[in-house]
Amino acid sequence: MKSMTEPAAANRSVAAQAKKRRKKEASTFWTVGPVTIWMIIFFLLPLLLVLGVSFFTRSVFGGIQPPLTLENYVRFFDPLYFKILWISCVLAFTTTVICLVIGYPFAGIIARAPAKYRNILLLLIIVPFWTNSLIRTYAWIVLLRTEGVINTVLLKLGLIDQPLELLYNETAVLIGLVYTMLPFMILPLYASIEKLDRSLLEAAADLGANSRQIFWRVTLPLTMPGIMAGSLLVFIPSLGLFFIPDLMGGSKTVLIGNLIKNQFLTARDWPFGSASSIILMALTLLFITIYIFITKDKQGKGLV
Amino acid sequence: MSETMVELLNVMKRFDQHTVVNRLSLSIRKGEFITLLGPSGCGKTTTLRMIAGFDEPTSGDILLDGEPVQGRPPYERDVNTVFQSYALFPHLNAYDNVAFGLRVKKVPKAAIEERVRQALRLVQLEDYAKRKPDQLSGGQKQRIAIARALVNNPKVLLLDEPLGALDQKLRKQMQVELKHLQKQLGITFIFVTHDQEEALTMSDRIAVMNKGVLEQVGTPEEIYEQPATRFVAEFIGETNLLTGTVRLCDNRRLVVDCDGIQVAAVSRTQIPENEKVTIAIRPEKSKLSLDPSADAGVVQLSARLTERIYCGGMTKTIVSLPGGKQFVALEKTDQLLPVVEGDELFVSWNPEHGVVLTR
Repeated sequence: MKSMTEPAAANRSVAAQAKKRRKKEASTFWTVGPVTIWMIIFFLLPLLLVLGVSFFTRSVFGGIQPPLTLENYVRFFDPLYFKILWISCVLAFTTTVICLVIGYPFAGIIARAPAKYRNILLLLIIVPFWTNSLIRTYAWIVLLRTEGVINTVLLKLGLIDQPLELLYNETAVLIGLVYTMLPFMILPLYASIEKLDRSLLEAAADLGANSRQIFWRVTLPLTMPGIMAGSLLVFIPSLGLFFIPDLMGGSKTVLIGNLIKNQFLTARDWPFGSASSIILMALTLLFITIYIFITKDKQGKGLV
Repeated sequence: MSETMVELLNVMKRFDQHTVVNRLSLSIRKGEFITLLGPSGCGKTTTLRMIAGFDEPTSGDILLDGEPVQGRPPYERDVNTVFQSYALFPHLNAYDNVAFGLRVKKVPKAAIEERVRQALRLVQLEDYAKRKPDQLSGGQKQRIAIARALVNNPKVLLLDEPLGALDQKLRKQMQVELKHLQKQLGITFIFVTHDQEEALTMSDRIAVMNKGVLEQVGTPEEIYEQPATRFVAEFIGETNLLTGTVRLCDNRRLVVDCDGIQVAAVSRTQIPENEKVTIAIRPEKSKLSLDPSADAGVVQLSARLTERIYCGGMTKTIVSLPGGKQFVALEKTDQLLPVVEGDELFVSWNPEHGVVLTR
């Protein structure tokens, strides 16, 4: 009898284990599953769609048709488009630098403010997000245009004889980009400055460093993750923001974002627009890789 | 060249309405190992920070090597600090941490190299120069922090509870090392701690602080044997306090009535009759016996055994005096009296060993 029950018991325990494993698998499915499905439907499939379209040929009526071709990618390497990409990068880089220069002291002041004001100050940084950025861009137009608020005031005060050309040039685009992107720089900077251990600054002073030396030798290197994260968060969207150059640059400045938008909406050349998007995305990935490489921030902790 | 290295004159520090340090005057000698001892919140760290220059006194003066340092920022003071949390720069390795002070002072490269090596050798961490702080153990971090401060040849080294984060064994070892280092270098050390044992073993002198007030300054022996106040007697080591009224005072020989028990004591000063006093008796100065002592010169009280606490070689024996007051005595664990809880016995001590405290 005994020899009969033992294998039976072993079988039961194997069955129990299998049940347990199935249960565990089920719970894994319910935690990771929805996110995965969401990402597949709303991220991976569209991406594959774009990738697919980029290999087709434009049809006469703006649709897509075979044959499959690499022509769209080859076309992008035309000096004209390369120049657009170059100008976009320069403008995005300039935006990033200006945001950093303005944002760093800004974040520093908030991080060092008394605790009771700190949250209010942070809230004030976030409040503009509650208004659509398109509307905020129109507000800038009201300020900057020839009969706008700034010119009117300056004329009335007699400081200028004729209106300044504030709108529809690269400076205007830069103002718009810096204004829109600044919070994305301030928030990660704030996080890293706030985390900075005050006793390290005291230790530096104790060892004979004046405030300038403390900044360059301690504060700056220790807040580098925030600087990198903020720069990335400003640089990448700046490449793709099309409505600011459209509205504030008067369509005179064509950037990579506008190029893509125009291919889809105006030129109705979806394959080329898709190819441009893929190239921009590849470029973005390259920058993120460089970021990870420089900061060794493998989990992207500085970015969230 | 004065013999005094640091002079605190009537130093006051207030934060808002709260007085953290109150009229502190203290003179610290050159090459001395002095400890500021007190419970947390007694103002000892604030005092240290005022010497370092992180906080400015509300009033009073601080002189460093004879010069007033009022208004001088930390980087213009010839003192260095070893912080409680070590405050090592996480982005720099051990070598660069130690070199930091020399680099910001623009010391020539070759000299930096030599002095840093020497400092690392001093703390026996030459082989760890390339390690980042997060690759060092607590004790190693501690030593790098000490090397980083000492490499600047400060006139005074300030240590803010530097051993607080270390485990007991490492702590003991570092105490000895620090003491040796101080003797070897001859630098004035101002050490802040709340650990009375640490203060007793390491210091040339101890300054006991309580609620921002300096209670007593003296050698470890003076502080332990002749506490000046009730606070000092209670804070340093274990002690029995008997409070009562002076009934008789004859040329510093007192008889004090403590809740009906008559206790003889010898005071250092004349104390008028009917004055409230406290007599402090260290457990190791008292003796337990089964029979009353024949010696009429000792203070002798009958008591009942309440509790025995085993402490290794010694056993802490708590007895209750006739008024119900608890009294702690010590017995050698291998020579315990043959009594059990509730049994009667006698506790006695030499009146010379009862320290009379008036505040």
